[in-house]
Amino acid sequence: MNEKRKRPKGQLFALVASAVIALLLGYFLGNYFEYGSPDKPPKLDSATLLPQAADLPDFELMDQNGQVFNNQNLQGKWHFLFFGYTHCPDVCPTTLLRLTEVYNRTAAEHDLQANTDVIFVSVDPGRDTPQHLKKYVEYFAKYFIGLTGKKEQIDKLSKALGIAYSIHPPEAEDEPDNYLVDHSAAILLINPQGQFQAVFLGEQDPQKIADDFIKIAKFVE
Amino acid sequence: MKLLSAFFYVCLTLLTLQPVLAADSATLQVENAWVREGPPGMPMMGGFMSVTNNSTGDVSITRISSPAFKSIELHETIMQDGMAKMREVSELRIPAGQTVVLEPGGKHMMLFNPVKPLKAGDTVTFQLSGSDDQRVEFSASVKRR
Ligand SMILES: [Cu+2]
Repeated sequence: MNEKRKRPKGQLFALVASAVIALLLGYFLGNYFEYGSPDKPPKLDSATLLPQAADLPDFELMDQNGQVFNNQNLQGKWHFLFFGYTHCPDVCPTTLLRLTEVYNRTAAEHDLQANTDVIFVSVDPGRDTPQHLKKYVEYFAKYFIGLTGKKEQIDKLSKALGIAYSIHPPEAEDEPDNYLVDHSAAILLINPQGQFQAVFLGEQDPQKIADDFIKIAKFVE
Repeated sequence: MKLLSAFFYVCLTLLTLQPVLAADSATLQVENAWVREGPPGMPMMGGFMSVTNNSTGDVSITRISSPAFKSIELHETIMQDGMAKMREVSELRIPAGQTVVLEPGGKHMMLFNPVKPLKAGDTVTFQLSGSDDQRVEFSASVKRR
């Protein structure tokens, strides 16, 4: 197609391309058999399905009632996970309200809906105490769980899920509690085995998220 | 005494007239203003609106205030490498004849420390100052959305 390209280069390209295709093919075939299912992964609009669900590291956080929350608490239910901070007036409430919409739109799948919770993990434990989180998450819905805890424990979980965040220094010295936090806007999906299953990035439409969630749940189960 | 009360009356009339006059001469027009209801006790809320500049020159919003909040800043949420970052916008410029929209996930009013708890259905008044010295009063309803 490009006349200027010399032949040897073209051949090299073809060689590399076929090697890449062969690798990808092997990878997908491998997953195909690992799932033990003849089904093809569903076509998704808003989510990226992990080729293979990933185990989470052992973590221990605290929920909004001051109870320990660890890997065991993820068993048996689907969980949408979002990392943020309660002093965030824009992206966090927008995302959490969107997740209540997603939940409402799974109503036709009674069993799935009954087995779905939303978890808000604070990346700002300095301000987000369990008592503070309780008022916050319960505002959105009764199936919301708020988690906070030691920074190392939060980092363990966030790193495993590819979530980045950065806490800014306070804007004024006399207001040490007034600072901003940058954080990943991804919504993560954890399967009932407590494994990282899929990620939703940048999707605004709750219907698309709900549709993809139902497809993923049906495919995996 | 009569003179004093007449003077008082004139002053009162002028005072009541003043916002009307200001509104008439305003070239910035605020529409669809709303405040997002927040979880109880949160020290920060988000406010949204669209502002149209009906004049022939660019105008910047230099200040927004409200008796319902301790302070207000203009902010912008930007997405960078999948990260949501919020930054203060020191001056929001509205080009002549154009509309700037403040909406969730973009530019917004950052409302600090509500004086009293606000619930969906409440109305909040604001005052906006433009770089051309105009002042615009507007009200926003509190919504859960
Ligand atoms: Cu803000």
